[in-house]
Amino acid sequence: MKLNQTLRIALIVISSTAGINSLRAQLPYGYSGIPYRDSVYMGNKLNPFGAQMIPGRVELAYYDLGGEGVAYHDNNPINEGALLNMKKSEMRPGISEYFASFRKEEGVDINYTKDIVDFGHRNKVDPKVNQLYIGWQEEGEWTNYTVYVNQAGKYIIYTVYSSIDINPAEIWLNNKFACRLNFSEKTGDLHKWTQSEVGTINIPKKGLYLLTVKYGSGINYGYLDFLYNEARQK
Amino acid sequence: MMKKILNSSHLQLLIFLLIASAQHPLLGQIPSDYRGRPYSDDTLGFKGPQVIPGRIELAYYDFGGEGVAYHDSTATNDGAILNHKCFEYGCHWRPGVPYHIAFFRENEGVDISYTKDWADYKKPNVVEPMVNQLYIGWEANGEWTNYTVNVRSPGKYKIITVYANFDNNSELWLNNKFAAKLYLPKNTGYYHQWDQATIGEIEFPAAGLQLITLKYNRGPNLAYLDFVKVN
Repeated sequence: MKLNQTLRIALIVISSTAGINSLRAQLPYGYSGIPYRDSVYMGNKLNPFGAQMIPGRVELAYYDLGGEGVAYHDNNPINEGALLNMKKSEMRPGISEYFASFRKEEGVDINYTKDIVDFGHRNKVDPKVNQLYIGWQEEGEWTNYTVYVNQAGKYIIYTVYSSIDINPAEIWLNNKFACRLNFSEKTGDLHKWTQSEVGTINIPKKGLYLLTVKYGSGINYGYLDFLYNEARQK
Repeated sequence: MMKKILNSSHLQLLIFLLIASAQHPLLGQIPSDYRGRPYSDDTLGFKGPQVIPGRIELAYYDFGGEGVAYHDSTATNDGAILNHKCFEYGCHWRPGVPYHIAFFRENEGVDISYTKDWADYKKPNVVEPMVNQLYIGWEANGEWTNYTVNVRSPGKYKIITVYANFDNNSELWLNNKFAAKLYLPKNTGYYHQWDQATIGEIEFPAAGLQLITLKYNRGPNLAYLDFVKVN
């Protein structure tokens, strides 16, 4: 009886970890980045990995933990956004250091939407208040996201962005090209914001993926919204 | 004996502590008889109170239940009820949407749903809402929701939101006193046709924890309020 119980427990443990492993197996072999979390953002617990989820919003500032060359590539090791925001003249009332110097030790250049700069004029579409976004983008830079896809299928991608140039970006899934992100509108200023559908992507299976955003230059954006749309599945 | 324990210096200290706590920015402004507490959600990795400047998600109204944290004219969450249903055009629980989102706070009276492919994104919106955005719908006259918020910087703020349908004369009350009128400038024509607008202005006289009440009537679907400092 005792042995049976032990065996049963062992089987449950093995089968459940095997389940998780088979989901993890979709990630490229050897990828060592892990989903982002910190003392404020504790990760998405709707999946066992704490990964951001599709359908839903992927916040770009929450690129994986793992550092330069693993979780991101930036052309210089300084976080230009944090550097700028820690200057006394740039500090905004009521904004915590968390937003002002988000991931300041890493190279990805992150800023947040500010009262005067981003909301002091009329935007075509206002971004979210205190939206963290990736700016100072240059060709060749990229960020990685371990994402949990809860439904296979075709997705429409939306974002709110500002642009002085409209070089397309790319999304790669598990190190393979998956789609282009096309920003149709030049807002003319890196703090004048608009919104549009920027791409469609086909995700063949449920489970974990490594999603890489490869940036063009001249655009600020903070997230990608992945909408599963039944009408577009055919 | 009692006198010995509670001598005058103790009393002075006690009185000082009482006054100090009443004036403490973190304690002093929430009405003393308010029994609600900030919403937190381990599953979503969200810890309250929500912060201003910033976004107040309306579905994250306080814990405390009917009559304390909210008032709804029906005891059921009509959004969650509908999301359990299927019709010839499909099920309201959409593919890939986690249970926690599709049936958010389903045992409470506030009527909550989330943005869906065939309803909210069927036609392009003037401004697209967030995918899986939680919103309060099925609004009826005289309903309200409470939010314990942490105001990090006092002063004037403008309020931005995404909404669908038409204006409903809603108001914001601050610590049980009228503070702002909200005005949705356009009739979008439909519960699932979304737009964005600046819908009001509010003054926070002090920093610290405050109680915001959203008093609403029949009309729109409302998702969040973005508070941006006006300089």
